Amino acid sequence: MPVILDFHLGTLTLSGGPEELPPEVVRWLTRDPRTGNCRARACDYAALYLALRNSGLEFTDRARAFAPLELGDPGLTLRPHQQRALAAWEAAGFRGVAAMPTGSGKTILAVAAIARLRRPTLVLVPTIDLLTQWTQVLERFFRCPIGMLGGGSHEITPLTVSTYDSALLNMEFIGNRFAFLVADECHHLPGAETRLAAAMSLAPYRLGLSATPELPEDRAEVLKDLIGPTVIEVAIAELEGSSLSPYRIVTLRVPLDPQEEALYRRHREVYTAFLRRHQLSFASGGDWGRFLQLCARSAEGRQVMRSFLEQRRIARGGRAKLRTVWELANRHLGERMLIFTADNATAYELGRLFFWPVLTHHTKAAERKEFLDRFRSGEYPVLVTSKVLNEGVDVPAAAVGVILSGSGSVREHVQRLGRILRPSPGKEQAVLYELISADTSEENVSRRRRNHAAYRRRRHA
Amino acid sequence: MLKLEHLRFRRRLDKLHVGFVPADDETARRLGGELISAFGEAIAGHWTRGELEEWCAALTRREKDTKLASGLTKLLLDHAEFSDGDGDLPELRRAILARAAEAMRRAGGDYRLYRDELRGDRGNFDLYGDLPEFSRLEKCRTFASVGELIDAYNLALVQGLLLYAEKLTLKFDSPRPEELRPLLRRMRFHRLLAAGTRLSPTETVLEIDGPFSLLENSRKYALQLAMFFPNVLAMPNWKLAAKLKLADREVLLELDERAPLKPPPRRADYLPPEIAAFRAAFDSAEWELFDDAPPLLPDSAVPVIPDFSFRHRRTGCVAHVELFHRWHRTGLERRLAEPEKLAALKLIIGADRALAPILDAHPQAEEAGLLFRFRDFPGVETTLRALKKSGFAGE
Repeated sequence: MPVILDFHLGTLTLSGGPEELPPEVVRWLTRDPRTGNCRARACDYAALYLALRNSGLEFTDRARAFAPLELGDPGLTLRPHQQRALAAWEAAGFRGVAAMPTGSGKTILAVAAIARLRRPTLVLVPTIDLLTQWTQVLERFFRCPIGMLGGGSHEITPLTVSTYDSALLNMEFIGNRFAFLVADECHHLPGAETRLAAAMSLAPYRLGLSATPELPEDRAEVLKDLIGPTVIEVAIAELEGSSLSPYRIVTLRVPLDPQEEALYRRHREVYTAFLRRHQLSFASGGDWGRFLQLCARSAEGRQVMRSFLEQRRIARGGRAKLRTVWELANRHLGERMLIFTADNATAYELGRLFFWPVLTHHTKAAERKEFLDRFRSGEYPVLVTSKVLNEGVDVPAAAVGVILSGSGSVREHVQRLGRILRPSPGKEQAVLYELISADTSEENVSRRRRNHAAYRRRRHA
Repeated sequence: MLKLEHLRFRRRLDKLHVGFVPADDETARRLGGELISAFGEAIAGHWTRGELEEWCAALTRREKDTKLASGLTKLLLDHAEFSDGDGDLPELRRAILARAAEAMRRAGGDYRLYRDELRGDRGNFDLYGDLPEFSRLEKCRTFASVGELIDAYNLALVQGLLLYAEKLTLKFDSPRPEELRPLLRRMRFHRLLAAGTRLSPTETVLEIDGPFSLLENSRKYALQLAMFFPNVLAMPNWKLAAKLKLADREVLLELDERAPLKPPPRRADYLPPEIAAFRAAFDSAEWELFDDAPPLLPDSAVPVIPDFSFRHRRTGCVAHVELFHRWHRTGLERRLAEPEKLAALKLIIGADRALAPILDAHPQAEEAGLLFRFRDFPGVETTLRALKKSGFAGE
């Protein structure tokens, strides 16, 4: 009986064949006592297939459910760095990560790769906005129906775009239908569960895209295992002024209003005294969990939690900052301005106060699209968002960015900068304002997030 | 599902003890009563989500046992359905936002002028008054009694903890096939696999996890395990062990049928009536129907749980019958793919005539008495004929 290779719920099963399989085949397999056959990760399909073929064993491949695809010519002209990236990816065996700044044309690189392979392709993206954006791009270039998984859609076609979350839910059933896996913003992929979305796919060809692929060592290993090595790294400086817009960064230290400052100090003291008493420094990863536990245990702890939230709220969105945003919006009248906040409450506070459109995860799909379209066209000169536009979404017209508040994450900061770097007619220089409540904890947060090459060489006001 | 912050448990060494709420716990009964009546009022009064959440938060703050209070409120909130909010607001918002750009230019930086122009005579109009917090409560699952709410809470405590499990180990004492079969069906429904071991003639152990778990430890299947768990409660004499990973520490959760857990009302002990009728009608001088047949776990993608097992009165030989109904097409195909295993397991396949196209492809199995057909459900006579034809009596 020949060896049969099957796809079963995100894994490969091997049944039949001789009692003793060749070692080059066995190395990919684990005996499964639950089913009495052998099992392998779906992502090891290409290696297992080659091992079976080289072993000379007679085998039937019932695992893959894809075939070459008829695709129209997308008519692309790649820029030099995109050509280099495509060549490097091909040379690495059609597997690997392209680390390129926002606005450098990562999507176009993926379109070129799809056109090169002409195989069913699944594109993984982290957000609904990117799901919509990728679908539109693929439709434009390939002029065929594009499947969508996520945001209420469940339509699968040979070219499909899915959110990471939906892919994780569906890969058990569709993991054998695509030969090519594109992971956009692939730094999300090594997440504890998200990684299974790629591990349960048998796609032999893989491309990861990210502007900020730096990861802790263990996660970088996962990304390499599931997608491949980094095949090219392009820095912002390399493209600034050509493929990317020139930019400057202005950090504005805004003093709190006296009343708010007093309130801030009082709540801050309650919070920091509690930390001192319990010897919490947040130097270790477990301190935050311990802080939450301690807060939940007593009425005093819950009061401390309220103080913690209150002092943070004031630092993130004090009245002086709101006035500064208004001034900036008036200073840049005629330009498109994106305002980023750390949380939805502040975003909606701005929206209510200044009658500006606010885009958060609460914004329904139709209104989301409308806000982005009208912002791109210039009808809405300002768009406020918390985190949903941090990554990927293409708003080339935005020339001014304002970070009203944010986390200490370097990745978040670089991604937010990336939103305003796409070149656009009439955009001479992009400017990113970072507003910091002076003499508050925000000063530290700001220092942490600016630890990236894109900021180090910039002069801060 | 309850989140970690709602779960009552204690860790002692490497073991975890669930803080179940006794059915007669005074605090829980008082709180439950208050909540059920408040949600009733909230439905009648079309409270907004914000009002309801604020009320729940106030109640939680007031209570000493915040976990119990927040857990009970979460159970009710999870079952609440809210309206979509003010349907006219997006249109109004579009109109105002469209005017805002022009108004800004005209105001020349004067915020008061800008605001007054846009607000017009709308007073305290809220531009984002249709956010989820403003949606109104329309309906909510009602708990018939406080006791039912407490039962749901205790079950949710276990399910919430199982969200941190990679695998379940279940031990059953003398499971009957008709009890085990629906359990394994539900396991398949949740796309889980089991490795089965018989510890003794009466004790069966199932280790349940997902297909990929063999290759990489993962909590990918934790939700499926948690959703599957209520089915275990329908089994008699069960024991559960689950390794959980909480805050990077491994802890063991052990439970058995003495735990104060009840299956959700709709999952009460259930024996399909046709099986009950077959058992009642079975009468044969040659064969006896017996209950304690072990599950058959052959070299197959899923364990085989026969619907009926028979022992020949004279020879003591055992034979099993597994039934495939019209909706079991894939399972039947899988089973018939390896017909040689049927004889080895002394397993006869009964299949609904609606599956004839598949059955017609296996004339040899039918000829050998390994396969018979029925309409809807086999009668006793049909089954006895099949047993005779199979030659499994060993005469």
